[in-house]
Amino acid sequence: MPRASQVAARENVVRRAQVVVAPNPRRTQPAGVRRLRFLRTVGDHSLAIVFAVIFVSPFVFVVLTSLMTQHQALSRDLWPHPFQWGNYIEVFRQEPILRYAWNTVVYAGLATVGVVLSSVPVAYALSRIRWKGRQAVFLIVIATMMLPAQVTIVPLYLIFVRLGWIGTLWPLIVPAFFGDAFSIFLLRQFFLTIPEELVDAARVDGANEFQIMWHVIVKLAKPAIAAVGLFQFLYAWNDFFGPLVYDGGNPQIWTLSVGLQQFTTIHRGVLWNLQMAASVMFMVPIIILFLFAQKAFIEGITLTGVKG
Amino acid sequence: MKRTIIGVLGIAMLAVACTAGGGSSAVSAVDTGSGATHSPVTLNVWSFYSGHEFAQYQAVLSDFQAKYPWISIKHTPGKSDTDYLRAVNSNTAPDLAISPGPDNVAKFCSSGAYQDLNPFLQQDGMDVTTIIPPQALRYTSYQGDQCTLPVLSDAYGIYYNKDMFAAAHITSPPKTLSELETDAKKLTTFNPDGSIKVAGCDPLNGFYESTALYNGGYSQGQWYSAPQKSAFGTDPSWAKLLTWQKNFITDVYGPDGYAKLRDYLSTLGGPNSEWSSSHGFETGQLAMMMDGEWRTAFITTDKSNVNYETAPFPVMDGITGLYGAGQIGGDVIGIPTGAPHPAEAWLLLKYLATDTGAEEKLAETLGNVPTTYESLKDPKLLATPHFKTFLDIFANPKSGFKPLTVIGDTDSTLWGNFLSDWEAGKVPDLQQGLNGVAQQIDQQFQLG
Amino acid sequence: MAVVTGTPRAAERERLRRRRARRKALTVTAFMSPWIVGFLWFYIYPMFASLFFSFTKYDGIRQTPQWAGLFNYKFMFTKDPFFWKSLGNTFWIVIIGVPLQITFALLVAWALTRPRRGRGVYRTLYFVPTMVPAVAAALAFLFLLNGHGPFNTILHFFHIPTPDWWQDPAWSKPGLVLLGMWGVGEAMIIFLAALLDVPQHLYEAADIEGATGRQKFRRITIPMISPVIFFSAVIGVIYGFQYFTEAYVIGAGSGGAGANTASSALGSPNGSTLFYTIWLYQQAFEAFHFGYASAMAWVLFVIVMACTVALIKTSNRWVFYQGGFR
Repeated sequence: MPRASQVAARENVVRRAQVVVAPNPRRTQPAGVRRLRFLRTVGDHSLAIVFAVIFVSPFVFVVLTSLMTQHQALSRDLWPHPFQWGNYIEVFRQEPILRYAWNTVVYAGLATVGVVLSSVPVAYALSRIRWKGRQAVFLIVIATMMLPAQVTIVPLYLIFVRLGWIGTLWPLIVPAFFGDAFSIFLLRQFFLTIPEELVDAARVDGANEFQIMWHVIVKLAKPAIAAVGLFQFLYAWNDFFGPLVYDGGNPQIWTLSVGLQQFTTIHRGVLWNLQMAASVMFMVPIIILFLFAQKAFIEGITLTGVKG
Repeated sequence: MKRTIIGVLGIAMLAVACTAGGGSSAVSAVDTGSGATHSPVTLNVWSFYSGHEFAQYQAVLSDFQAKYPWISIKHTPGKSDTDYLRAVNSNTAPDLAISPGPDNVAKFCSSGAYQDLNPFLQQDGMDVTTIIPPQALRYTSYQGDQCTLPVLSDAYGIYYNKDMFAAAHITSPPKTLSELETDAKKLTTFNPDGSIKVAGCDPLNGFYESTALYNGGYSQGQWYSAPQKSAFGTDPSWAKLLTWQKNFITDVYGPDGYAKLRDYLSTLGGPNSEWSSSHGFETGQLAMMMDGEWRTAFITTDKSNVNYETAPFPVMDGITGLYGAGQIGGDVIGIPTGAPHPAEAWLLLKYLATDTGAEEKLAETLGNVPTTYESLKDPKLLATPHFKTFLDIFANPKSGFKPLTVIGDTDSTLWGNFLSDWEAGKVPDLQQGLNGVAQQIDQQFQLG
Repeated sequence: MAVVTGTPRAAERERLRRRRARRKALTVTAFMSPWIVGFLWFYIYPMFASLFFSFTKYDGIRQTPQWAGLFNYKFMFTKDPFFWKSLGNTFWIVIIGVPLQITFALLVAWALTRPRRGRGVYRTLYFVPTMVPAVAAALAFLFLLNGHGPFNTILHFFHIPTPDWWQDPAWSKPGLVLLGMWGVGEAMIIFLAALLDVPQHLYEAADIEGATGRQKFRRITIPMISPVIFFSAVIGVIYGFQYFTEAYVIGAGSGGAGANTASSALGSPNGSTLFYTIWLYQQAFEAFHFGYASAMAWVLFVIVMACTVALIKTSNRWVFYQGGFR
């Protein structure tokens, strides 16, 4: 567990103990004190509520617009009248959304598998095996995170042309099987927190590195691996630049990002209602995934941010 | 360690040298198989069309399939010129590529991205100059290489609201730019807060199709005085045109006319309102405008009840014999290099570009101008209200498209950016600005 | 190596040691192999190839690149008007946009430290927009901030003058910053954790000495969370230079003069959303100047490196690491 939350946990225990120990002076408090406390709570929450409204309102407007007629969406109206639930069906008629979704799922799924499979051994080697040059290589891994994708895109594109992969999903999937710097970084940080004694015990038992990695580290690091997988899935689901460059103009392999963006250009930006409906459908799966896996996401981010 | 580094670098350099270059070479013209038995072929056709125009195009493609039953067509919409070029250089080219305009024809031809159609024409013994007017051949070929053929063209003229004309006692459409200004002033009305209620005419480059005015077709503006030498600084008609525009705006809309026109476009719904039913002219908020012939079909489809008429667009004062001509240019179709089935693609291209029946049907359903001598005589088109104007504009020998260059539409982009700056008042010295943009265009040719 | 030679047991030990070392080297290489191959294939080779291409003219259709020496670099710095424009736009985002977003993230995180209960709910609400794909978010804002859109309608209601965000070159980048602010959830989470980690006793000690809220913030909070601010700044700068998707979607969706224009509307209105990566993309994949684009790519690389190094070097002056806190 990250040290920050350990500290917080310890403080919480202390705080709770104090409450139990102190005698309760009165059973009910006078109205004045209650009102003051209520006002203070409102004050504490008010700013948070304002921000909550700010962050949620774009969603609200997008959903409302997705239910408008084309004409209404172009006007200043904020509330649909009538409600065109049919827009969500109409989108499927206008664009092959299901194919885009399938392509996105294939890309995201395979890329996630690839990143997890390839990053775990690398992170293990960088954290639990002591070898000369380990620190230097780790710095190089970090450095690659800073390299803008545009620096390497032209030669990579030309390689993929030669391989005949342009117009397919391979240029997006194959590189995932060769490790990802961010995932390696995250996993390494986590692996470092696993106590040395467990690894030594396994070594004494005669296990080789692979067995140690599999039976000790991976078993204990499941939350971190889950976080890495989720991040990679999110990244691939949202990826635009990659599919844009490698699609070769072939709409058969468009992912949802590219398909959605092309929808605007093709229809010259007049079908706002359908556009918003399509956007909603694009956002919903990943938001649902997030709501179920909240803890993993947030822990993962805290892991990189506070420790990094 | 050092040896490993050198080794890695060496391999990297070698890899670089090996992967640069290489690729498929151009396919030479193949016999058009008109024998008895044919194995089924699927043609991959890409076009820029979308929406209901796409559906209408499909109807004509079905006619072709009826004529050649062994060829089936797969038509993909929403493609752009850059998609075509990218497909060629990634070896995923379609059989036929349909572009919305001729901007990149010179690039297609000179870079070898499209195949030269002359061998195909010679094989079939066709003299294309007897079928297609020279104005159209000019914007589909480059330096002798006919790498595309025109299929439908646009023609740009003026649309004006007859009711508003009657109310302002204007009896005939303007023929010169100064008449345009006078009429616009009479037709413009303002709201109590000073904003524009009805605009007489919006001459800003970014407004709907007004950009056609700044391509020089109505002022005999020269783009190039010599190959790769821009004439924006040396041809005085450009400075004259831009000064006219500035005076027009202040005269008709007042000293803050530019800001007012920007707000006006915003109230219409932004530039995308051009393609929706909230179009300014169709909703009676615009009295006169530059537009193409396709607007007649859109007005009917959008069910607008605007009472309008069409005419050639006014030309710059003092130029005799130009009125009646206009900007033309439209779809160009070519066979990309690396197309899987060039022979069958040629059959389809020939059908679309030269078959009178096909041309007439396309023109009638899509509301565009056909590009062959025979199809221009189509009685149905001639009888369509408001449409004859555009047929005449197209047939006028002085009509044309801007000159084609190997840098494609980069010169248009640079010119458009300059116009935006000029309109916003960011160019203090017009002549200096024009020289500057001319120099920028010249330099672009160096980039290749 | 100082080894007692001569005895057979020592030689035996030596052989065992060497064999173990070799086995370890093999194991390490095996474990690292995915990354090593990937590093060579996707980083080393392309970087060198890109450098090579930057000295050539190559359009991908004509078969071989043609050597051009320093031509691309010279053209870029002296004859390309869009190079400077795009660089300016990119620096605007990095110098103005990133600090604004960090400040907003900090503000939101601070707002979340106040409520005692329900923090989780708020945190989720603030974080969800970060999950939204960049394309969807950009399209949503393309609509929300359009001339007739909900945002302007609300401002209109309060009699605040409304710009036509995506049509006005002066307001398109601020619009992009607003879009970016919607997605500060990720940074906010990190700031929140850091804010909550500041030891209470420091604040209590300051209270005893009679410090005001502002003094406490400046003297205690900021220094204590400065490592996190630094981290966000570095990430922000790196991503700022690579800013692409949102700019592409907005640029492509807001423009459009003329029906026959085959040209792309990217960067509209009037080049205000033309960022360096967008211009690079256009040069590479629309104009097919692969050599020129490669030169631009290397210039970008050098700039990003320089800025990151500068940020790290100056961090000693304003980032405060408490011993043992990490």
